[in-house]
Amino acid sequence: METVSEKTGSVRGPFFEKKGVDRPCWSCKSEQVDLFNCISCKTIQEFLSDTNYFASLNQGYTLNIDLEQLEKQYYDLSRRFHPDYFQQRSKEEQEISLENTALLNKAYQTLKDPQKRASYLVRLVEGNDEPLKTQAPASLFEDIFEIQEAVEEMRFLDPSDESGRNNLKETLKIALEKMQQYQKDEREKLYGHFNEWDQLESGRQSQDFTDPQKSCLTQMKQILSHSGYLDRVIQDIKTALKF
Amino acid sequence: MSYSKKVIDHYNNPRNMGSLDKADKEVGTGVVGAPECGDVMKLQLKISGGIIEDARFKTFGCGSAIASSSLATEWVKGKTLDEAFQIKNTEIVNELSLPPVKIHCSVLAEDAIKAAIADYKKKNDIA
Repeated sequence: METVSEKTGSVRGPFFEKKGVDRPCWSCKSEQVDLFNCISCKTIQEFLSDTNYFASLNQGYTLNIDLEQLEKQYYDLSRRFHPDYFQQRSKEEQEISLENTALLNKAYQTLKDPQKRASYLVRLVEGNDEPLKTQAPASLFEDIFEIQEAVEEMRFLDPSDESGRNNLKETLKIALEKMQQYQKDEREKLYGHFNEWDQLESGRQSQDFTDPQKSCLTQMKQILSHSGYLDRVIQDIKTALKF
Repeated sequence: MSYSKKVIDHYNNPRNMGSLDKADKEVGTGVVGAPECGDVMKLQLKISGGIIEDARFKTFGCGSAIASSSLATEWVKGKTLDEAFQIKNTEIVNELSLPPVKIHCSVLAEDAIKAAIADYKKKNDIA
């Protein structure tokens, strides 16, 4: 089993990247601390209080990320923090390993999903911990209402009504295609904004996010506000088609 | 969380459930939804001489959403467009004793009334 002290090399990747650590070790007070461990006494260190799922401000916030690298980093860090490796350690260290693992899992789940990743960035930039307020265009609700009606009809259909079922299936299949196309278009728009954002971010000189970045974020928010809804409707149709 | 008696009553005995003819010039249709909970609500008003003669709703959603829209159809009947437009979601919240997490259901009902009125006005070129 690898020991914690052997894993002090710098970890590069889309998250938990931080230049310099300016806090002493919680246990021995040594200043010789890297991101995860104390170099003197080898104890595990808590994540910095301002750790966010993305790179730190110095490194920039990137929306297009290498998923393979993300996964690799996740496994690497999981091995580093796994509570199993700390069973023989002090109670404090056990707790830190548990907390770090919990944060790591949340970070990975958030970053690997493009929609969750973007929502997280929005909340981070706006300094708001609330879920995104959701809204959608009125025409979408009309489509969805019709879909729900067909789904309901499907549910209460007389099992012997073959032709009724076939008609409904046809209606639902067309609706499914329409919604999937809509979802695809929205996703492409979102990825377009990802590129725009990353370009703006790489050219950012100031501490603060720029106005073009903020407006890019607003446009992403608009898409994100109903993407979850769309996913759910598509799921509803797929379920109904199995009846 | 449990539903209030009034919510359960509307849920079990929804008033004015169904549809009116969307193509009818005297019918205004409002379809609104809340992406956060997936609810979608259709509210239709039949208007004659500036008075709401009849109202119908159909809602796919939770008990509170169904009760809010059912109550809304009861309340708008006999009202003028302006009076119906004044109905506030808070009145629905009070009447049904909706808990804070269900307030958005009442907002949906208010939005549906307004959307139906707007549709009617648009159809009939009323500013």
